[in-house]
Amino acid sequence: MKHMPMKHTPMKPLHRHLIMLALLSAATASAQEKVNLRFTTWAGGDGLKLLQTLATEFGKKNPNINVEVESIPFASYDQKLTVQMAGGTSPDAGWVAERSAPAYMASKSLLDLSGYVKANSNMLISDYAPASMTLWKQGNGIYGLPFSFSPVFMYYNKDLFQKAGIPTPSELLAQKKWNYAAFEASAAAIKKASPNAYGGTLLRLDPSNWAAGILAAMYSSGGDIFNKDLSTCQMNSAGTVQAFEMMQRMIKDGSAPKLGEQVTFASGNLGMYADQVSYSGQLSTVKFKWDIVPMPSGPKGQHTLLGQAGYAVFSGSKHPKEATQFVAFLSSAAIMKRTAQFFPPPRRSILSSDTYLNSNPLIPAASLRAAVIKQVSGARALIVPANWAQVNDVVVRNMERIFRPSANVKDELNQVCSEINPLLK
Amino acid sequence: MTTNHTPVPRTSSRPRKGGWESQWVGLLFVLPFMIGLTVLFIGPILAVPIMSLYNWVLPRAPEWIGLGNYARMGTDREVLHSVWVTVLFVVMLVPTNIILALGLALLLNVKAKALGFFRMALFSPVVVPLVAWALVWRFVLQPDFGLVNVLLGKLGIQGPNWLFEAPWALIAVVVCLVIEHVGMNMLIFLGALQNVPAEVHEAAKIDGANSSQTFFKVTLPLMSPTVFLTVIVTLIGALKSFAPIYVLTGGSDATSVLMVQMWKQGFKYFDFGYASGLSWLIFLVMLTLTWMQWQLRKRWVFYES
Repeated sequence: MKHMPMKHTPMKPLHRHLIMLALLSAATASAQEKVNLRFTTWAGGDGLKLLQTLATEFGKKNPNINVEVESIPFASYDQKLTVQMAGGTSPDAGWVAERSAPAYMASKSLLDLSGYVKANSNMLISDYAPASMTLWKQGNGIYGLPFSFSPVFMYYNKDLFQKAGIPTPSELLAQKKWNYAAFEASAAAIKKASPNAYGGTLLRLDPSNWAAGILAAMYSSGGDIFNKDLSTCQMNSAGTVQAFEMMQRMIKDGSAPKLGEQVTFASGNLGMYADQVSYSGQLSTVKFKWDIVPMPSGPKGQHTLLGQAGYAVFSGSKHPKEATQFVAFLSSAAIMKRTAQFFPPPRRSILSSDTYLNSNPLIPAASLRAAVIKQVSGARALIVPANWAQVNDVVVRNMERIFRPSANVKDELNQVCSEINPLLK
Repeated sequence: MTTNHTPVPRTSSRPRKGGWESQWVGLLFVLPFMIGLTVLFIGPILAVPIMSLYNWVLPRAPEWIGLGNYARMGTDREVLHSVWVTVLFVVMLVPTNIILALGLALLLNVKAKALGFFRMALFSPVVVPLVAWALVWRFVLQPDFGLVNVLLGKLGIQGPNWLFEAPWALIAVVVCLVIEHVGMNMLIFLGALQNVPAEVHEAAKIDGANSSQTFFKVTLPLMSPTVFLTVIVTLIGALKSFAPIYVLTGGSDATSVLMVQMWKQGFKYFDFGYASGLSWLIFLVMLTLTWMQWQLRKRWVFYES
């Protein structure tokens, strides 16, 4: 068969069309001078709807700016963002989770907002709880404005407690007996009364999120993941070992689910479960009665983990000025009052207001006051190194060995530290 | 399955005339696919060896380090561990799959009622999407309330935490993957078995061969080209396994094969340079193993026709 040489002539008209199209769109863009911003979030459902409403309101106030709110699932949020930044298609602004913030700051992916914050007195930065800002400050710079200040507390299933005939955590709290020994004993009692359920756990279904629940127990017995300046691993410190040994015992006697057991608090088969306010969204249709209490206290007092997330402007943004404006709008007291329904606000003026306490239809104000507001003062934000993904992975990889019934937890955690320490150098 | 050796008559739908205009139309039709293939497939493949020569941790800019990533692999405990897990995984998966598929094909190669049902039942996992398959298994293999351990409990045996305990996790993954894929190989073997001429079997019987002699000396050699093909395809498939392992165990230590390791380096640690290097390692392993098979085939594959 004879091959015809590929001629380029037929492509020419197409080419010309394309160029004209490009020119035309460029011309219209410059005529309107409208700035389009992309704002990323991992919010879904009502939280996302609220953000979209806020973006529309902002657009009405600033007719030259249009904000597109884009939702990316949390599990792939950092992946997508990082790849987009590297590919030169970075969003302009968006949410940043506390555990990813150091990595973004280290790679200079976040813009310093301190100039704007200082120049605008209505930002009222002093209204933010000091603990809420530590993560976002570096030197004199402010690299994000927190919108969520969410301590981890304990959800408990009232029905399972009633069936076991033991005092509830709320009752124990009132008697000042709500400590980790009581947590462990209650879990065992629940398991005994309801063999098809579990008493409670400090771990999450997703092993890579182990820190979320067990850190509170570590803090309360004097343990931690790192030392203060993040230069040494503290996973083998006495307090940490105690917390892990407790979970090992509970898994061994069956009062806590083993790794990989697909049981959730919302299923009604888990007596106690540590999580944040946002988890209550999954409990709107459950058949059992539940309530919340602060995390138990331990030998070194009562401490919990403070989950945080902030608004940031990405340095890849082509419109940093407008993006900063939008972030400032979202952080203003008036708007934070509205987002507080989903995220406990870091602005003290809102956190302590009655409007906030009555904002969650599922949790009574008294419980919210005890579990959220009172806990905030003793809560700690988790500050991690930029390579947290690698460090976290070491713990996840060793988790099965740590919780094995026959394991010497101290030895296993020594091993974990011997793997983590080189990563901190 | 019957095979038909008479050539299929071709309907000549290709226009003989029309010259380059009609060719352009054809090209336009395949253009969207070609663009996709080039941008999303061929481009990245060509970029990977180049990327592997850079220290490129997203979102920072790449830095040239030559063969640094490859040197790092030699001392990286995680990667060396992954190589070992991959070896175990392949050694368990490929022979199990092939032997089981062959056994099932032999069982189903007799004429009996209801065989259609068994063939369908064994083949049906092949059409289930892998991730859905793995998700179901994650529930079946739960430590306390999973189906497997509940049934074992009825027999008085306390089952292990299948997907998390070190030796069991890899075994569980292999079993789950073998059940998913064995139907395909079984079907291929069934086709090959039915292709073995009846006269040959008859001749073997007349010569006094018993059934195992007939199988090992006559049937198996005659279907060796098929076995060869399935071994290679299964081997490559095994080395490529990622999604089911990730869904089942999250790529824990016990099951962190090289593919999982590559994904972790690339999309968890964002170390794209190193992940590119690892993908070359996987490619080289596949190439070497296939090449070795190809060399060995002269020893054991029987080609007559």
